[in-house]
Amino acid sequence: MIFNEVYGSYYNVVAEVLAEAVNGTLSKERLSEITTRKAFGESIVTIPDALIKQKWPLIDENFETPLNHKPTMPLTTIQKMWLKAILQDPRIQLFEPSMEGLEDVEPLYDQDTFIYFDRYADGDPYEDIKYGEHFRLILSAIREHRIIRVEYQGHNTRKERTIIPHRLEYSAKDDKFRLIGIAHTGTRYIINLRGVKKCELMEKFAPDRFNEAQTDANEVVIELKDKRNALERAMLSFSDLEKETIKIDDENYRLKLKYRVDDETEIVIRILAFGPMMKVVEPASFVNLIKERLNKQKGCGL
Amino acid sequence: MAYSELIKNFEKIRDYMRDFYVYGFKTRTDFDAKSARSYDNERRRVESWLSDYMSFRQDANGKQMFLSVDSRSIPHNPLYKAYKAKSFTDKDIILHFYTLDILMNGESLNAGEIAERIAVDYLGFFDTDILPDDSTIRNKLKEYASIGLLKAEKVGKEIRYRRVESDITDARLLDAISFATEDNPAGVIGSFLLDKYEAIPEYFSFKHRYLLDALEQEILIQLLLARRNRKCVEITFKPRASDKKHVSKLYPLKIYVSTQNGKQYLMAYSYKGRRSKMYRLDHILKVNALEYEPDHEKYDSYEQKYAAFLWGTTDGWRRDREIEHVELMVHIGDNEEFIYSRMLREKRKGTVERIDKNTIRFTADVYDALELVPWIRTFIGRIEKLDSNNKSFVQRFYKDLDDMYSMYGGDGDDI
Repeated sequence: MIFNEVYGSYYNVVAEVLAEAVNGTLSKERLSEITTRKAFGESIVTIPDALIKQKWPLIDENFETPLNHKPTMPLTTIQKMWLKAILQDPRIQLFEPSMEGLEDVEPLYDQDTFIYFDRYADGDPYEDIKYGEHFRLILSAIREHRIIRVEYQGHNTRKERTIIPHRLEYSAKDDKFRLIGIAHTGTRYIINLRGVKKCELMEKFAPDRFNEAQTDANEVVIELKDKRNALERAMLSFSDLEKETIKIDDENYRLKLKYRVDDETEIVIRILAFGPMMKVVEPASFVNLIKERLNKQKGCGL
Repeated sequence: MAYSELIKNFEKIRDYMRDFYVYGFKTRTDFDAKSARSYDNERRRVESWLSDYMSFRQDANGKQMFLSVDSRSIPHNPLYKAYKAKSFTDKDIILHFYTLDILMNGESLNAGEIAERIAVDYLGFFDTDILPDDSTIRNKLKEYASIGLLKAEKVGKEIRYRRVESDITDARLLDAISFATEDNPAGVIGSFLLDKYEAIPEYFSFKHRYLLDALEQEILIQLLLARRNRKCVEITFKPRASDKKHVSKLYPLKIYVSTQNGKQYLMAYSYKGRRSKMYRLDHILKVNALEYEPDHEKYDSYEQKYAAFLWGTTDGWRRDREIEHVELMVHIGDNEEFIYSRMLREKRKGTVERIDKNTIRFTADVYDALELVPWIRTFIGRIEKLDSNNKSFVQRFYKDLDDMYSMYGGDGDDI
């Protein structure tokens, strides 16, 4: 099925090598440069060796090839079916992509095949015309390295900022896009796309001028008790973060998580969800955040 | 056999990558089910594909190799690389490039004509004895027609092959693919498409992204194809805490995806159990598509009925699927309207009512009240009452809460 060598790294690297050979520009150095840039760690030796020694008779000792054209590969059926399926997704329609050439293709799946059962219910309005316009304008600003002026709804008031856009960040859990960018002052901004009221393209910025303000990262150390399958649940649940796990004994583990400071409340909640299977041990400030919640809970009389 | 960074079988490496990525604390001796030599080879392969993302730690237990990344800070899922390491023969690779080159002009040729051109125009260029025989060439052409790279047309008694030209030229579609590659449950297909391009758009980042689903995509795509063709399937699976493999005949209905831990489940009608059930995708080892299911509409209609009382993905331990009622009262402070909003957006089933200015009540009927426990705990600090007809669920919640009080200070302390 999809585990097929036609999609493999080796075929891609060799295709690029042969394209150079067809052009008449292939040399030993170019061969080495292409494999180093594109291939897996150990292919740097394997691929040039197989080509030069004609284990794969595709180029001769003068780096010439009998191929008449630069290699290209048509789309496979599964690739077309996947494209047809994603084109039905309202988030993909935000890009206004062309469906040309896929008219007679069946989608790999229908949109209702997937149920995102724990996704939050207040996702972005992808079918809203204004939302779509803002999405495309911000995307083109990122693509073309243009500064933007954004008017958006903050927590309490409407705000206006001039921003160097960096990325559109999507959260599958929140089902939301956020604009990540920085102001001229270096202040980092995260703006919910849904809250954008107005957006305007401005002058270009030099790509190397963009220097995203470093996001402060914190660490929390947790003791984990592997009961009720807590180990597997925790390992999966926190696998989106940089983490380190040390086995203490068959039932106890020590887990170190790195998280962004802006996400601290969310991390507190995620740890609380594990109940007595997780105990925060460091830093004291994080331990206090858990204690505060438990103290408050005691006040509720339970 | 000599070591190669390429692999024939995806299933074996899937296990290792999962262990390196999810757990990350295992040493060579922990991989007891597999031989030490096999561990060394698989570790070397994963390192070759993913050296930029690997970390090591040495302690008294030995050397631990693990994959650890902040998925928000990387533009592409590195685990897709495993799908790009399929082994092949020398004849496979030369036939690939020669055949697609021969047919580039739009010609339609039969296997014999293609074989002759390969021998004369291509291999004649070299001093080699690697000439593939006719049946190898015919099999390759047949395989390429089956995956859609070539179109096979019967002309009289012979089969002629030609290229099916198609490509992506729309820049907007390329942007869309770059987004879907990272977000879509079958995104590895997008990753194959992007590999054709020198400059891949990197305009997106992803929060709450669980990379591990990459390893289940081969299984997922086979299930999607079976469902597309209204076919039943035979799956081989190994449930957690079992060393035994099981085989089941199913009709695939839905794919349930968790956005909070990345786990994926197949919801399917089980012919033997005569009911709908859930199967974790990472427990499925093999999928075989079987015959067309003429009653597919009947089974499709079971899905909604089954899903009505699912909070997550389990239907409890009772065969009769008795419904459990859950009632939760939460206190909200004067400036804590966000708690009310939170409950509205996070509840998956049931109702949220405003009892008074400072109290909200959530009620739901579900198969398995225990599934709500992690979510209910996120309201710790505000819970006024929890009740259910499943008394052991309520008792467990209170007992866990007491354990947490003890863990963080006990009765005599400040908690």
